[in-house]
Amino acid sequence: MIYGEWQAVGGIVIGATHIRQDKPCQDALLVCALEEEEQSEHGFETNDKGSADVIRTKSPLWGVSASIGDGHGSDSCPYSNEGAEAAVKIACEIFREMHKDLAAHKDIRLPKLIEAKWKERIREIHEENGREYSEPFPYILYGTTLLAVVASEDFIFALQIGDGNILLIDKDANAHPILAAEENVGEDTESLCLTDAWTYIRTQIIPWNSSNGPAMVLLSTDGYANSFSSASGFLKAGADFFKLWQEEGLSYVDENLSDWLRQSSDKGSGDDIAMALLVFE
Amino acid sequence: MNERNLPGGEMSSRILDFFWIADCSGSMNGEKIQTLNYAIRQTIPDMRKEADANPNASIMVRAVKFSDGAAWHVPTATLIDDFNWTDLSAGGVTAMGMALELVAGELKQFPTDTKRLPPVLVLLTDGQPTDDFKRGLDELTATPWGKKAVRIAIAIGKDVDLDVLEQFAGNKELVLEAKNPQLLVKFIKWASTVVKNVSAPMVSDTGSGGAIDVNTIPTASVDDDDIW
Repeated sequence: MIYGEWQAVGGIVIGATHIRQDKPCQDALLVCALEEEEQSEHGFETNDKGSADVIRTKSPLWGVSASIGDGHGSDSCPYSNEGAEAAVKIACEIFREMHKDLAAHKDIRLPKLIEAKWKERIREIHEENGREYSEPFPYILYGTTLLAVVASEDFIFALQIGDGNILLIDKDANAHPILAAEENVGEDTESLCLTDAWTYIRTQIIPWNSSNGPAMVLLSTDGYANSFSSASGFLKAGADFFKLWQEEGLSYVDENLSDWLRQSSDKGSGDDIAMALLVFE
Repeated sequence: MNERNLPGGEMSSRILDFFWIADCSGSMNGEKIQTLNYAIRQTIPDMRKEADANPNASIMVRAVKFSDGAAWHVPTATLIDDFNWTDLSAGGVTAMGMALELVAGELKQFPTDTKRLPPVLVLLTDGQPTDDFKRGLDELTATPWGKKAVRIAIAIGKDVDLDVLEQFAGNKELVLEAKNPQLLVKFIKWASTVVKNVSAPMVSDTGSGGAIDVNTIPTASVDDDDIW
């Protein structure tokens, strides 16, 4: 194969803390192919009670996208799981519409579109459920982060608002953070619910060439990185995922991902975890 | 379960640092310091229960006392399961600024790349600082973790400089006025319960979405004495 292809897998687990508090999973995940919808296979999971389903898609024609969201889950954000679901769906819809123009519109038009469509959708959800409100509309009820990646033949596009992590792991298994914000100590996070949220959306285009060799992009909500004692432990996870894929194959990673995420949450943060892995070879 | 190939480095639960910062000046002598000692001791079983219910957070407790100067009462971060309270005694003036400097010095040591939860600082006082309070507060809030800390002030009695405590807490609602021993006990117990919620995300720039529900702060009951 001359150009290789991108494939993606993903997994999501509810955290031990949310199980104990009888709260739903606040994370969401959507992996989709960017061709015509009828040709693509895509999945969506929210997972209420702890099972960890894996979604797999493969796009030899143009590329794939993966989006994850982390609803804030605090008392002020009771519908944040719905906010996270809406965010990942909207990211996929927008990428399908304008994936060929991402580079031109990554700084203003795209972030504005994501904020506008998310807020429009949130109002619809609120009204469909007969929930009351007064203006200004309390978007915080649905507050969520959003991390998304589009991987194509000639570029990787990454987008992020709020906490969570994106890593690019190169052919030598070195993990490089993408869009890493200045370290936010504590639990502060930016959110789609903010006024002018688009100004907080960070984007990056990384030129891509098939001659770069095998590569992996890892996206995870903060429950994953927070499970490690130090930042280096998380970077090592990126390198380990790459090696496991290279040595054991993507199916092996696919089959074990949910177990690994469950163990990580249990041993570490206790938080929900959503993760997507995009691989190129 | 495939534990053999679990990706990544060492994993650990998240650390939640809890600081008691207690005024031991002469005016605290008598019932005030006795009530403070009693109430802090009462919080221990509940905090242990909370730690048991949340194995993904390790509650580590320290304590600072201040009067003519400031010193560590519990200098080492102590897991709540191993924590015991030794009674404080009162005498001297109110070196509150020095106490904050001491806490700031400790918070400066915290690495920013570890996934700690925001520290909880609970300041208990019945008076007004007799030293450079602003310097201590500036040092505290200049540290990344001091800035993010949940800061609660409990004013004991009627002679407290509430403006100073509001500066410390950064929020009027987190200055709790204990006008009698019953309220002091309730406030101290309530302050210890915020460990339950500090891991909830706080949406930047809105001050919303965070953990502290001020509606749960106890209020005076008709049976309470009003003696301070």
